[in-house]
Amino acid sequence: MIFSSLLFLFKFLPIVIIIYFAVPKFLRNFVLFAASLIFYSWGEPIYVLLMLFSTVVDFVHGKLVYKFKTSNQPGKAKAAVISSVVINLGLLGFFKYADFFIGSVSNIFGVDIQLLNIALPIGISFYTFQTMSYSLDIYMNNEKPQNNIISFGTYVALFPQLIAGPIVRYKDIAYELTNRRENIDDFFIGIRYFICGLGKKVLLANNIGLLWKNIKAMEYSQLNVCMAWIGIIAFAFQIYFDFSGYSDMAIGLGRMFGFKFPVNFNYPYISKSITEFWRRWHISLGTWFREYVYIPLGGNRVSSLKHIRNIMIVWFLTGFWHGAAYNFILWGIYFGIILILEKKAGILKQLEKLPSFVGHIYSIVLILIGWVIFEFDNMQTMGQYFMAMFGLNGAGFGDMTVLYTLKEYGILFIVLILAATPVPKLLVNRLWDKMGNTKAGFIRFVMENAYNICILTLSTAYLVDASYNPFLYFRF
Amino acid sequence: MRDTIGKIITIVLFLLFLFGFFGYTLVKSDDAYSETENRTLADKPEFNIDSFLSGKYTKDYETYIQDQFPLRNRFVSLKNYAELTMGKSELNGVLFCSDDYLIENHKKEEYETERAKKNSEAIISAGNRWAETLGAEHTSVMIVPTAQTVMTDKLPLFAQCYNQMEYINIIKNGLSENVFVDVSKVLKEHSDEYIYYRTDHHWTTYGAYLAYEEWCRQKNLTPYDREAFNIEMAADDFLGTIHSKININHKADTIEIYDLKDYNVKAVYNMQETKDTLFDNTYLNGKDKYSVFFGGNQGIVEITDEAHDTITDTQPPENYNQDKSEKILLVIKDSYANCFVPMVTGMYDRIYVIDLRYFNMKPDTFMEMYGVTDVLLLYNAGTLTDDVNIARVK
Repeated sequence: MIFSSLLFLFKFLPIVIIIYFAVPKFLRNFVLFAASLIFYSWGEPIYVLLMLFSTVVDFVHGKLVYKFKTSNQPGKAKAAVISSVVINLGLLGFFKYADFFIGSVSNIFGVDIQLLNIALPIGISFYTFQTMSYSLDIYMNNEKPQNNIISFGTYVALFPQLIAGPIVRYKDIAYELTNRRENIDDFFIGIRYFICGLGKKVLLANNIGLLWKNIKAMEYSQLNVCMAWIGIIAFAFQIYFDFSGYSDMAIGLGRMFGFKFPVNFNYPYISKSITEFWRRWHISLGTWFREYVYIPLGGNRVSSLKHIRNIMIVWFLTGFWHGAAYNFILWGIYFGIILILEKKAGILKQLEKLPSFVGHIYSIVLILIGWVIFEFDNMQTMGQYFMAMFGLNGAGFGDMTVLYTLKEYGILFIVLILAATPVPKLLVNRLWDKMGNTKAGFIRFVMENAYNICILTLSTAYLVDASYNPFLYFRF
Repeated sequence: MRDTIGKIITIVLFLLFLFGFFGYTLVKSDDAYSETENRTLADKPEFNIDSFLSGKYTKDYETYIQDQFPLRNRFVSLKNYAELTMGKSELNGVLFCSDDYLIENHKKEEYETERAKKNSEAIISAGNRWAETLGAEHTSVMIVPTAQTVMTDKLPLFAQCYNQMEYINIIKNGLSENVFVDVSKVLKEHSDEYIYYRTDHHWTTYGAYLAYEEWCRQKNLTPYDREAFNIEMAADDFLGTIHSKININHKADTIEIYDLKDYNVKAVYNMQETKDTLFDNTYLNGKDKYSVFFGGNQGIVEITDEAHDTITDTQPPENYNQDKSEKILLVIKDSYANCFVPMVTGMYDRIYVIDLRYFNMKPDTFMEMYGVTDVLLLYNAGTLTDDVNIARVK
């Protein structure tokens, strides 16, 4: 099931809200756990067993790690935590990467091994990372293990963040799992996040996604420079609003049920460097890799050479995490190299001295090139698309279709550009501050509610209309 | 305190929205059919373990919710209004053109598919074969371009549609001399007149009349003047198939009927039912008003007059019309011909109109058995490319 569907909005969510708030506190984790299993098995009736397996395994491992650690048996504690990591990565490796490895081996050695053709279990990249963080947090960060397997199952399967994150580390919500207090303030904030996310996904991402779908389907040998850039810009907006919209909905839903999930996106496209971009893009994944890979490897407090090695390892893994294909590895390495150059070759310092628009353009262009690498898992088509972007295919700079596309999507592009920056939010807040008195408070109240209802109604209209509601993240 | 009340109101509004539609879906009875979309809507799927595990149940259930959602048509309209507000001029493959025209945009890719190629080859080989057996002057192939190619002046700013003449000319150039009837020029000359419906994918009866005159000219036939017909406005509230894709308020179309004066038609529908008309006015009360012509697409209709016996409702006589004493026209067609054929009545002793979608016999066998002397193949270039039956003429 996905949030941006009529089924979720008008069947699943109302039912869960009623039951959740109707039952006494001690049953609420159970309600969430059960709801999450239904949510998951709706799309993956068989793989839900895999998730339950992962839950039990990590629950037991957590206990073991803690027991060995508190009884002064560090060797055994280490063995237990390694076992947990191996099992999780094993699951991920088998279900997500097996065919990639088989294919690579076949290629390199020129043999023909049968592919397994396993369907990727939805969300496996997210929940295996979460369960790993559990045993790692107990081992590294002195967290206490969860005593109640239902509560632990709730953490693993929690439907708001199950499918597309944010990746919530165990220590972030360990306390809330058993001690949260749902309240009006949080529910209110949750609604705002949720509606904002819904609008981003349904009204912005899906619509600009249509343009990218059209351009992507074109013949690249005849694609002119303008169209190629418009296309990848459309994709950049699609992936950002899709992903961050989904994260916002997750954060909002979590908030309604009393959980505070970490923020996942912070206006990434206003970055002035790639270093900054990665502090603003998919923050929970970056945090995970920093916490459990980069810092244990020594982070930046090691020799320059080792520091470079650490960056490359983390970015290789980040890329590979996004999908079992070479282009994702390439994408990770691409950013790893840029980050190293920014840090070690003084690009960051140079950028700081220059006017800020230089940094913006530098970042946007590199990010867009990154999206081309990200989007084409076939190296040949990727090459053709790059040729089109830089006019090397002889298809010229632009034509009438460019004007038509700009006419059709111009207003949407303006909305997208504004929505990708904090400007509208700042302007609105300044407006409210200026008004400041009681009457303005009332106007603000009416406007905000009208805005909420508008977004909800329009999103519903688009969902009713849409046979086009693809969800990009099943791949991860 | 005031702050908290405000938050509660926001929460209540949100929950009202969710629970409102949740409740509505519970009490609303399911619709079996959507007239605007011209299709049956999904039923509630039956639950069983197998279909659940295979994922079929969940998929069907989501389609069911989507199809049966309360106020469905209104939400679709709202979405389309929102798109227009955002400056879009193309929705759902429909272009919003000047003079209230809605024009369907068939893309280049549709004309480059395997099927498109197969269909053009079938038409070429059939046309050339008939030209040999019946003579080129008795063989006509007419592929009619749709509004996207004819009414290019009305297209939105900067919009460029695929020029169907590229595809049509492949057929034209593949056929032997004098077989192809090119109506694109005459339609183009009258492109500022009412020759296509604004809300439907068909040409108007007037558009068909222009093509009819051109066909007569190219085939050395004498066309009827417009005065020879009772021209009657059958409907002025026609919202056609293109409108259904958009589903927002729009200026309606008028349908004209050209009914030949002084001709007592006798028509056999589908080899069974004999009627004295080519029109079925009952369709004027429903949505599908274009079906006023022939009552929609029929497998086969035989058209003749009081002076002749009908033969498709019995067995054709042996060696029927081998001496070509009767002039007999076979029209192999899609719905574009439905308003065209009534103008041809009386020019032949007998006309058979067959629609390969609903008629199984191989056209050449039929021509042999029923003594056909002339053939006209009439299709529009908009839907020809995905027609799965026309290849049977090959």
